[in-house]
Amino acid sequence: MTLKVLIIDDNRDICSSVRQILTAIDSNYEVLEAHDGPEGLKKVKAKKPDIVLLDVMMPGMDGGQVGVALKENPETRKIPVLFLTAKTDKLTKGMGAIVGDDFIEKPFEGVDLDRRIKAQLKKVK
Amino acid sequence: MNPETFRIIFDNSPVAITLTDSKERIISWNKYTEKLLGYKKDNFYLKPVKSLYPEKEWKRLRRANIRQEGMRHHFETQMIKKNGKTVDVDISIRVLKDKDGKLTGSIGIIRDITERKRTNEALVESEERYRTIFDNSAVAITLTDEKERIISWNKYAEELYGRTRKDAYMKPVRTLYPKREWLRMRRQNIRKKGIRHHYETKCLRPNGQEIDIDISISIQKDASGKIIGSIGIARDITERKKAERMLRSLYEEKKQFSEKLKKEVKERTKELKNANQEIKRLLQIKTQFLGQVSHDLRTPLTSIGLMSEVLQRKIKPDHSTRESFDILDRNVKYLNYLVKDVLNYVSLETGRRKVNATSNNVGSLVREVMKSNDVLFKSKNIKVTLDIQKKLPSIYVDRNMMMEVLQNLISNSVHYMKESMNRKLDVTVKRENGNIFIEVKDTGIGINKKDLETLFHELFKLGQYRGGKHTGMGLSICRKILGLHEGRIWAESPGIGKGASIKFILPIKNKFSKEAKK
Repeated sequence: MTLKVLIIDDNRDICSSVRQILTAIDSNYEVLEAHDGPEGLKKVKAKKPDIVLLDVMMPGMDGGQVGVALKENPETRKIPVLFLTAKTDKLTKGMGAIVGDDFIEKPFEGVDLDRRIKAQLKKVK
Repeated sequence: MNPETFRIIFDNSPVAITLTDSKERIISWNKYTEKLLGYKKDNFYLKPVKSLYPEKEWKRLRRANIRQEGMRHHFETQMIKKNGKTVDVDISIRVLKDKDGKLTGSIGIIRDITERKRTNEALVESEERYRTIFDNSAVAITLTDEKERIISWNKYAEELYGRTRKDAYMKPVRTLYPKREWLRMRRQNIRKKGIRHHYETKCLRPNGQEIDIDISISIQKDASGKIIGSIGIARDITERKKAERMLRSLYEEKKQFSEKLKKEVKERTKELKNANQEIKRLLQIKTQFLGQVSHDLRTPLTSIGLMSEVLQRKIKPDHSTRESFDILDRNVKYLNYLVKDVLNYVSLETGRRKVNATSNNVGSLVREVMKSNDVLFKSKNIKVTLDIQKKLPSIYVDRNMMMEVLQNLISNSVHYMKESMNRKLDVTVKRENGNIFIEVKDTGIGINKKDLETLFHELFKLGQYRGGKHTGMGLSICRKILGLHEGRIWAESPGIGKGASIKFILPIKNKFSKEAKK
């Protein structure tokens, strides 16, 4: 069974690293990449991923705004959002609780990310 | 009047009366004459009147031509007493003549003027004395008449005013002063008030020089209260004024100096303030920079870490590549901890991380943290002693922060006991002087005396990296947290190889407990 993951991060190395580690851990992963907010929203609509990994700090539309857009749209509301954050402040943590479903702090390990993703997907099912 | 009455008057007169014949011989005298000259009646009879006078005085009397003029009043002379001494007398003589104008004798009325003379002499003497004082006084004395003209002044006045007695005589006293000073003096109403002591003004010398003087003026009045003149006593106060001016200029100088000093202090303070502000700003930049760099390190560190994971999964490393990956992972981990600690420190420093104070029993907190490390202590073979005083009061602290501090201290102790044989960890919690006192004591490598304080400075251990979680930021973070709780933390150690203890205190009453009461 394929696990379709969309990662939205302006840093292409992160996107690539996440794709490589997830597919190395579990061959069921199919990782899609988007490098800014609008592109991400477009891909969510087009590809209907099982989960969205969302970077917070992005130029233009930031992770928070993308998260809000996803949760406001009835079509995408049910897709779990996992924030990838480099910030530890309460606002970000709160944001994870309000618009996202969980957050994982950078730097993180592949196995940890895998575990968190699977935990979210389990919740949805 | 009958002759008898004349006789009585003659005999009882308090003046000496003598009568002589045409040949200037005494023919009659009264009792007072005897008293005045110390003679008896018969001693005088037909005695030449000349014999009663010292020769010099007789000649003077003769020169007065009384016989020709017939009369002379109050001629002052001397007479010889019986005992040979002289007596001062005032004599009035009347020459007696018959119908034909022929001289028949004379009547002399003599008064003793010894007393008067003495009084006069005394007066003269006294005047002389005053004159001496007047002239030799070290003050200038000026006497004026009712029209304010100078009528007398002493030697010192000549000197002070630069005019001789002759020059000054009958000159208006106002000529002694510059016009403005005279007008100023006039406004003092001294003539009306009658007296004025120590009035300070200036006098004017004929050469135009002005001299500072101190003058006391007394207005002289007659019995009816009419002004008849004045006495002025003046002193030259040039020296005093000079001293005063010098004092004033010294004072001014001092004032200026102190003002200059004040200004300088103010300027320096301002500079210092600016410097302080600049330091604050630089420290802020440093903190921001530290935060920014650490923050920015996270993304590449994530990629590096993930890539190492990916490679290890793809390659299935053999023994030697395994070692390479271990080094890579260990260092990435260390960098991750370092970034975390720095960001933690920065967020405490900038105030982004705030104290969330709740009521806590520190004893229970310590027990909890110790328990969570139980497995660690056992695996490292560490003997733990926990001494927690009973009935400790609860205090308002941030629970997570306190646990962080305790965990930090325990981790440090465990870490630094790695090489010691006898591993003991003693933790004490007690109440002491309004504080909760906590001590974490170990038998580790100890601390160099010079490092006891620097230990708490941020980034202390950087550059001495030994791996693991020990970034060197731990104690700096502890101190920051204690600072936010109005507490204090310090280290003690008997020296290298002799173990160390970290002690800290937390006030039982702090700003959070006060806020909670509101």
